[in-house]
Amino acid sequence: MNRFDELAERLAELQDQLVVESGVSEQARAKVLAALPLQRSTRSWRGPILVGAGLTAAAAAVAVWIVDPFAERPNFVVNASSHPGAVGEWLSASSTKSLPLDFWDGSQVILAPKAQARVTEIEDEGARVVLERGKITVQVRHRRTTRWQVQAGPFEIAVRGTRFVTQWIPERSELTVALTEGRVDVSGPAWTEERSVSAGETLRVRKEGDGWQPLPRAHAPSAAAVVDESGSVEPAELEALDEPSEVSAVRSAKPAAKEAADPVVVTWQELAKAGDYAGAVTRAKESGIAEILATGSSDQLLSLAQAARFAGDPELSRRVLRAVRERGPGSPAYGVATYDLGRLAFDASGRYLEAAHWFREYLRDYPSGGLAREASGRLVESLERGGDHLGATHAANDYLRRFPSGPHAALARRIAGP
Amino acid sequence: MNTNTVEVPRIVKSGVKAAPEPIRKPRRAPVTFVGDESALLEGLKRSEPGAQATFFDAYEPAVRRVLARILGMGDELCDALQECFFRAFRSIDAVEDPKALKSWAMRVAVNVALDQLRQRRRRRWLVLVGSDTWREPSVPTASNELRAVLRATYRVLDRLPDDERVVFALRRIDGMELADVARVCGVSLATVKRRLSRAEDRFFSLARRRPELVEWMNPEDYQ
Repeated sequence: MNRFDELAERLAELQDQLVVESGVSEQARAKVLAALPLQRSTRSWRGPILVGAGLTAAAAAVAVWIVDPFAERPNFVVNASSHPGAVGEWLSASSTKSLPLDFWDGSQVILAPKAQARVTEIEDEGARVVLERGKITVQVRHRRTTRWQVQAGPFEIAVRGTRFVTQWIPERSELTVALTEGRVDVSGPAWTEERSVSAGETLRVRKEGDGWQPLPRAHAPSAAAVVDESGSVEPAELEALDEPSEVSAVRSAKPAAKEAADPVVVTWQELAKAGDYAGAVTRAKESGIAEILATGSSDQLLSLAQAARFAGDPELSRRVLRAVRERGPGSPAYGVATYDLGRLAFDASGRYLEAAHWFREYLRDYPSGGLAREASGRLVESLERGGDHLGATHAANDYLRRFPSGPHAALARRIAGP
Repeated sequence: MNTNTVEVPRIVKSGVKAAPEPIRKPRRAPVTFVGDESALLEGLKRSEPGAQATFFDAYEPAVRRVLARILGMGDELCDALQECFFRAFRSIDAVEDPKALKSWAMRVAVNVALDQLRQRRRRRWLVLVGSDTWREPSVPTASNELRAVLRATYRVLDRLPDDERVVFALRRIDGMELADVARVCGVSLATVKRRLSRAEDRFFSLARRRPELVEWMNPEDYQ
């Protein structure tokens, strides 16, 4: 069994547990039984499970239903049908007027005054737009297989169905992405991983020297507010992100006004749950780590430790896990913290013998605990990598006795020998 | 209600004819379905509530499993589960072989899941609705990390085309045999293999960028 298959098994188990705990089956059963008897349809079933003769017409209807409704060839027009667009053509908005591009699938890209861009690819799933300079507003209509991309300088923005404004200033090598709706994923030289930007968020990054300086990510009440108020954020450094005046379809004033009146405060827990681990750690530090360690529940602390580990801050993770252990044994969190300290030592620091110490601690306190199999396997690995071959052999034999078909069995057999 | 009543005059002791008393013909006895799929199918085709209830109890776990694997944990799971059975009861005439009842129910589940995915995307056009809109119940034995990994897995799956997502979820997360995946998806084995290959390429390429998932990747999955 390989690692992903082992994970999949555990995920499926967890999922089944969550569903059972939620009571979904009982709720559905009550509603279905209350509606009985349900009469069968007297018409031919128009779904893909139709059997028997007479299939052809129904299958054709289903095929049309499944096939993308936008059967026309992908294309776009410039400036409200005055000019058919061409792939690769240089598009430049005048100094006073914006330039809208309307796409076959209902999507729209609007070049702000002075902006320059090119549409470099068009396919059934979407288009690729290269922003050479200036600001564009992008509204992508989401379909089953939507794949749009916007390139701004060295950055790629992957779009699935969203509305956002992006600006690229080549003279400063500065990128801004402000989301009105939906979410985009941005990749580029400023990070090792993609960055997700969600509705209401603004991402900014600028080249400084040989590196890239991420500017603080603002949780603005709405991207629209950032967009409209030209002086609202670092006015001395940013050009105003005003939306083009023709964009009546893009946004209405009402949601922006409402959002400006009710700023959303996102906690570090919510950021972590949304997968924004770097944001969660930043937010937690803003709130005060000492405060969280003093008042947070053990589960909250484990979440913070995990977020710190995923965000690449092993020191914070270690500090939080030790704090959980200091609260004393007697809860599942204590065991998880012990195990995670081992994993941290192994994965983040390469301190294998320290890792082995933690895995041994876990197995001593929780010999049949939920993480016993993992801890046993990792103990074998840690000792072997740490150079304690005799210890690794003992641990391997123990592992094979307890978990002969576990994910570390192959390693254990190799170490234990014949 | 059709009781097939027949009026028959009664003669009482005094010799006076009494008012006729209706005689009710016995209704057909309820069909029992234990271990008898033919009888169950027969009862379903007659829209008998007992058969429909039995069908629900017998196949709900399998249907629920298919929905959960494809959709993840979302608020629409309960509605989707009901919809599967409503559709199944309405379209029961499509089933000829009683032994195919289970796989047919799972196939209905796949189609309902696909519809739900399409609806989700339409809702996302207006407001961000992720596959983690679910309010997780408390499962004390489940680690926070495993939950984070589960959420991350479905965030990655959200980025796959639906047909690839379905085969990946059923094969790699549920562990369903390829032939069964083909049967419940209503496509050939070759098509399933093709979709699975593309799905795996995409999934592992995206997953290796997620810190929650990267340590679970086998080296050969992303070389």
